[in-house]
Amino acid sequence: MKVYISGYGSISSLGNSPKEVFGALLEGRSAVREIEAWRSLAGLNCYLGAPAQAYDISSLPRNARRTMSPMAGMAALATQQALNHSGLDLQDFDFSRALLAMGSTTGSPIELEEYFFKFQQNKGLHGQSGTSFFKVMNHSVASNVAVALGFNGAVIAPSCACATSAQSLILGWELIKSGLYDTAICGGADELHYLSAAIFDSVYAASRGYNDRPEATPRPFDKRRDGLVVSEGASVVILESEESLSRRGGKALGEFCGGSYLCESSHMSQNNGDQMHKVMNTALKRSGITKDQIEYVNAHATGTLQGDAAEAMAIAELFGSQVPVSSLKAHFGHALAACGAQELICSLQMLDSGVQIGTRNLEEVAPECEGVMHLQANRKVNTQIALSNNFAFGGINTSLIVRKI
Amino acid sequence: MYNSKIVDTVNKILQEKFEVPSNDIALHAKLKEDLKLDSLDFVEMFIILESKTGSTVKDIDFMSIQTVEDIYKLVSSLSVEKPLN
Repeated sequence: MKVYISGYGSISSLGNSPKEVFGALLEGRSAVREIEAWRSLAGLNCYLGAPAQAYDISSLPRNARRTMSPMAGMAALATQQALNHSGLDLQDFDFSRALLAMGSTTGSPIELEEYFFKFQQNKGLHGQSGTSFFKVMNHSVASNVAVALGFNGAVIAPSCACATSAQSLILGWELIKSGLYDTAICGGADELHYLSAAIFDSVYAASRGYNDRPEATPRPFDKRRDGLVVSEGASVVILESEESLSRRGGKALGEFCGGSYLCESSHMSQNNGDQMHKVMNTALKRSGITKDQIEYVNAHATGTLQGDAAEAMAIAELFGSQVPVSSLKAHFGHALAACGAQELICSLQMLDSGVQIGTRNLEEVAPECEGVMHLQANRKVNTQIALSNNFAFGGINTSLIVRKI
Repeated sequence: MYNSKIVDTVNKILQEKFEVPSNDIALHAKLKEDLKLDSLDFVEMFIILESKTGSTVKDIDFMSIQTVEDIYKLVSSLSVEKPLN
């Protein structure tokens, strides 16, 4: 049984629709800029971030908005886009075979900061909002989207940082293939906060050397890379069984061939190229796709010294230097929970448009990242099947495969 | 009948925080049926009123707060000790 992509939506640093985003990628734009307020934070060495383009949640009902932090708001908008794109109408929908799988790295850091700031100021709980918990609970994104849009099916809230939306997608695919579900609305969202930058900075994984030249970083695979830049956004993809799509006369936008998620248990923050190789290989096996069929690899590569090298080694071992590889993190920044779905959407757009997007800021390939066919500029080529990786702290490795229709 | 500052403060909260159209705010308007407020909104309302009056809304019988007028009465009783800020 095939599983198809029937809709998608994005709120991101490069634009608030997939069309806008791809336009920005074609132009080679960067969303990275200085976050002025972060300069005053003692101990933070990276002052860069990639905020989402301005968006408006006022169209959502008030009783939905009141429990939303920015991540949930962006997720609701992205889900609405995806539903509109797919033609699915939740007002007339069989929820018994529908799944919503969506998450974020943590609950809202913005709300958490406000809560504890008030707590310290008031020396207790006075003045705290009754809606705070709904913004910081780990399933805030999933629940808020479900309540805002009237989703009454199964709701699951995967939460594994940078691999969240990829994991949601693979889970959705597995459950549709199992025959238990026909539709899976999958995605992830995170909001920009200095805490995200600080977490990476504290392990020397955030870019520190380009604060005065924001658009020159991150630099995936580059000799002069020095770490990642955090971003924010929400991306959602709707998967549907072949039967469901056919029954309702929907349109397949792509085929979700399959994926894999495996844990690398040897280290919490440093990834092992062997395990990355393994997760890609497993994704191929589970999809029934051979490595020779892969015509493009969308790398997770965030611009970190260790992660990029490990991924390049893994890709080189599996695909050699025959398959073009690029990372989009230098355009978007790293949108954490949203990046998996975001990069899947962009990979599909590359297949559809016949243009592969090159890695921005990749001026000189680092020796430890050699061995793969790095795309350093956009190129026109018609391709059918792409593989996309995402790797998260805690050894959470994912790889998924998409085919053009 | 009620202190104008209390009426203005409550009405402003209803409009700005709960997006109630000003035309819908009337003395006998029912909070749930007419203004579409629910239990979560009530909790939020009392937290705001506590911060405005500096008083604690203790032992409140939520079921007794049914209309806009009931809120005016509540705030009036809270404001007796400390003026609205």
